[in-house]
Amino acid sequence: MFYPQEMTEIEIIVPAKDLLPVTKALSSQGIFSQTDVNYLSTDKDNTQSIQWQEKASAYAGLERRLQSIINSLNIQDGNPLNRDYGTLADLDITQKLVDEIELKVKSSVEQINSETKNIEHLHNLEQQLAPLSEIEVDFSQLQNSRYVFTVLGMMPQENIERLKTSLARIPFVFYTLNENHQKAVVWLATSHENADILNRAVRSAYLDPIKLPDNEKGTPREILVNLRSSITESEKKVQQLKTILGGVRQEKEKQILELLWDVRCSHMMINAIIHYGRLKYTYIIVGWIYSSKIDWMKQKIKSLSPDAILEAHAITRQNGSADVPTALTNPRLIRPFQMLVTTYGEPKYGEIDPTPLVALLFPLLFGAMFGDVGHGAIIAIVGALVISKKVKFLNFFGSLGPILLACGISATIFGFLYGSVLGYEGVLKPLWMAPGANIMKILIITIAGGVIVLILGFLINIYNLLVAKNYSEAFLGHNGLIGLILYISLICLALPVVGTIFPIPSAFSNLPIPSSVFLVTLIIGLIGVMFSEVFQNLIEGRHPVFEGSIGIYFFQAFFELFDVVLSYVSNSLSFVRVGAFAVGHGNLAAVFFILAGMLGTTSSVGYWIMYLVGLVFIVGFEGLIVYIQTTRLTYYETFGKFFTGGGKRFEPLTLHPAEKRIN
Amino acid sequence: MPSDAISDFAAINSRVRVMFSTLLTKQDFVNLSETANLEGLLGQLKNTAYGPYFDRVKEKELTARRAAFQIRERLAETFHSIIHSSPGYTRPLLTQLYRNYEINNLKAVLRGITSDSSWDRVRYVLFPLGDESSLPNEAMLETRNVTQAVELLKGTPYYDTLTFAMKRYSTEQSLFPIEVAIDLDYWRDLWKDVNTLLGQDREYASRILGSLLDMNNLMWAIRYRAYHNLSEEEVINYTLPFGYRVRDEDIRNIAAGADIPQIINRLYPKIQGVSELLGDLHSGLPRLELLLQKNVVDQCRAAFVGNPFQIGIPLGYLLLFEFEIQDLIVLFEAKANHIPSENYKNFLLIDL
Repeated sequence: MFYPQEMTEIEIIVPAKDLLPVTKALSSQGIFSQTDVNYLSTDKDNTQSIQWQEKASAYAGLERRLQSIINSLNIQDGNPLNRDYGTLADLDITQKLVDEIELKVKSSVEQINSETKNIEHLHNLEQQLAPLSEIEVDFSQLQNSRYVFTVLGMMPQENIERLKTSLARIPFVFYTLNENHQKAVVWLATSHENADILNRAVRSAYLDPIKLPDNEKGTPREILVNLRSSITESEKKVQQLKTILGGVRQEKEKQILELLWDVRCSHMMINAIIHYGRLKYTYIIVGWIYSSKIDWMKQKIKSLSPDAILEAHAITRQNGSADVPTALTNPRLIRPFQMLVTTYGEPKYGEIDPTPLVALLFPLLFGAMFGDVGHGAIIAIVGALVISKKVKFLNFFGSLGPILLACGISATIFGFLYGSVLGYEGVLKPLWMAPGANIMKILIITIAGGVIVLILGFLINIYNLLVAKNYSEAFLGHNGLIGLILYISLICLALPVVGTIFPIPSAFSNLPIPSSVFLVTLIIGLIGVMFSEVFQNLIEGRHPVFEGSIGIYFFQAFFELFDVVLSYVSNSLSFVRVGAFAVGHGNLAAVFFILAGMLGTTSSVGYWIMYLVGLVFIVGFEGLIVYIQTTRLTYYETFGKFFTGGGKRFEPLTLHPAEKRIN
Repeated sequence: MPSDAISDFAAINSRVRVMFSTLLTKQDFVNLSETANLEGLLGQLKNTAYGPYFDRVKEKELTARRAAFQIRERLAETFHSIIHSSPGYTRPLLTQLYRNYEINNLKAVLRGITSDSSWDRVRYVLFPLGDESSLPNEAMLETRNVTQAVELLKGTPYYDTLTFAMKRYSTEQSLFPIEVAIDLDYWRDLWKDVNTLLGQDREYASRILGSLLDMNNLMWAIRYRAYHNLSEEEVINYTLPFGYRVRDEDIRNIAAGADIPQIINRLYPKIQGVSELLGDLHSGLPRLELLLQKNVVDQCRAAFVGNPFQIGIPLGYLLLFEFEIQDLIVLFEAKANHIPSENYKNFLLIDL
């Protein structure tokens, strides 16, 4: 739990005849991560490689076609089916089945698309002709005439006279067919010889031509009636086609989904095989496996392929390199918090897995800042609903359900400790203390808590560095032993001074160790941090010891030291926000009570409406802010001390998403 | 004259005459043109009625463009003052005249969109209409798309006109049809407002604004015909059939290809050398426009002679003020770019 899984690198040489069962065995239980060793292939003409690529391409094509059929039929993709996917789906048979289904579906879908486009086109025509509906003229007789060129369109009324003036040099006819206060529907005609002049004139008069449908005859009203009946007909046709598709769906849904998952798994299998090295009659498979499962895997492969050869090379945490993938495996209860860790970065192979720390710290910080029985319960309920997946609109929370549940429970516990229920602070007696009545106390406690977290961070960092055999950094780094000594010295020297201003327990303000001791450790810490780079260079034998000139080094080192001390102080004081939010949470509720009181008494509707608004605001908005603050404290203040990330994620080979992992 | 004209215009007449006295004189312009650079020019202007408008801006922000924006603020405030003091029946016309700046702003914003300019570049080119403007200038510019920008004008007086023009914009991808449509629509409305006036008000308004319209109409016709080689029918549709001195017949003759210098000489005997000006359209057309503007200036000044109780006085003053700002902007640009006076004085309305 506290470390990523120990890894063993394995190399398997397997005969071609046993390739599929061995691949299936490797993919089972998600304990094997494949390494691409295609470059080890010795087949000079690449025939095998080409065959596998062609198969992969064929499966990919089939998957796309099946997906398209599923979309057309509106089938829910859903969860993977429980089938045996140990063999590759037969390409020829699968292709035939897909062709048959596609034939049934494709023609209906194409017709639906065509009819839909037609309906849109008819609607546009309807819109254009609507202004002409009152005009009892058969315009179709005027179109395509041999000697007369006509233009029908809509134009601004104020441009009409000017347009007539501009056409003075040619013979023309002008009719205003319809007009409202701004626009007019007009019709112009001239001889074909003067068509250019007419076109230029109408264009410059901002006439917007109305184009009649070519195959329609009659007055605009008659054309509109025809258009509307065509639209209705097309809509009926679309409905009929959709009914046909519905029938196909009912008949073929199960078969389509089975085909889809068969194809998908075969595709994944082929993709895995493509990354194997190919010899003449055998294949080379290389990858990483959990060290705890190596014996089991050896037995399994031997049973499936007696001729297979397996070589294993375990990598201990101390000897890890950047190539070794990191697999975080935690108990089910804290596994959801892995997501918070991997969002920040992937731990290196030899590093401590911070997931247990996050699983403890994150809900603790959240609960402390959001302590209220009722508000916490609401968040816990939301978390539970997200986990159940029964409320669709909560699905956008994704995998945050367990985290919300944990934070909600923690907030509820703190609610009991603070004596706060749905913003009411007088109802329940605090099991610990009410933050609003003990502001200084809670602020000091939270800073003290922060100091403890930071010291823990130092210790984890020192441990990680020792494991990695980076002794110089472990002892002399800013976040190493010397940094820890400096930090503790600063704290211990500050405590008596703080004790004169703030009410802290005397055990802390009057430490049994005299201040002079801490003064000495402080000086040691300051010198150590200021010259850490020099000391590390000396220990590791790196030259030059001083980068650049000594004067500049001193100047830089001084400011670096100042920066480090400042960061210790700011990181420590950053935890005061926990106390501040604890106090603020109660005060925010109080504000809404005041606003509610302004709207009426507790027997009035207005009071309760404002109360509900406040509840939504506090749980939703303040809850979000507290979540963000908790994330900040976890990532920046805590992780910043020891977590460098940069590890390589363990990507298990899976041939089917339904495969379950062992614990 | 009717007694109500006296009571209607007494106050505004006095106010305008006081304002008229604050217009810069020829000597002021001579002094301004003799300054060494823009800083010197602005320094001098700070001692005039423009001073307080420069104080509103930090020294280092006072570029030529920003200075032009500031002096336009004075014009905007003057317009407000005059509109509110004028008799009720004249306000539609004065308000419509003021709307010309909104039209120009609209055109500037659309050009800003097509030239992909930022708001910072465009804002000080616009006339400072402030909250009175119905245009969401910045929002339009941020659409970066002319069609979407025009959609933001729904509910404004421009939307319907632009709806027709946008169909041409979609095909031609040119702002020309949009700008022409806006201009024609504006001037039609302005002329309608002139025609609602009666008696001497109508006479003076026709003379002043009609001269302005004549100038625009002539320049449009000449540009479209001689410069853009548009057809006769297009020139006719892109111009207006009314004005003060210029008749529709003149415009149609220009559109049909008649001798332009002859037409102008007949209309404006005082304007000389039109043929030479039209020999080089690139430099000649702006010069011709300037000469026509001088004619408008004369009309405006003439309104101050004779009956003082008519709309010609506020109208004339507002246009004279606008022309003064036009000249100052020429000086700002000239001084900012260190252009010698012999090169820029031909662009000034005032004779130095």
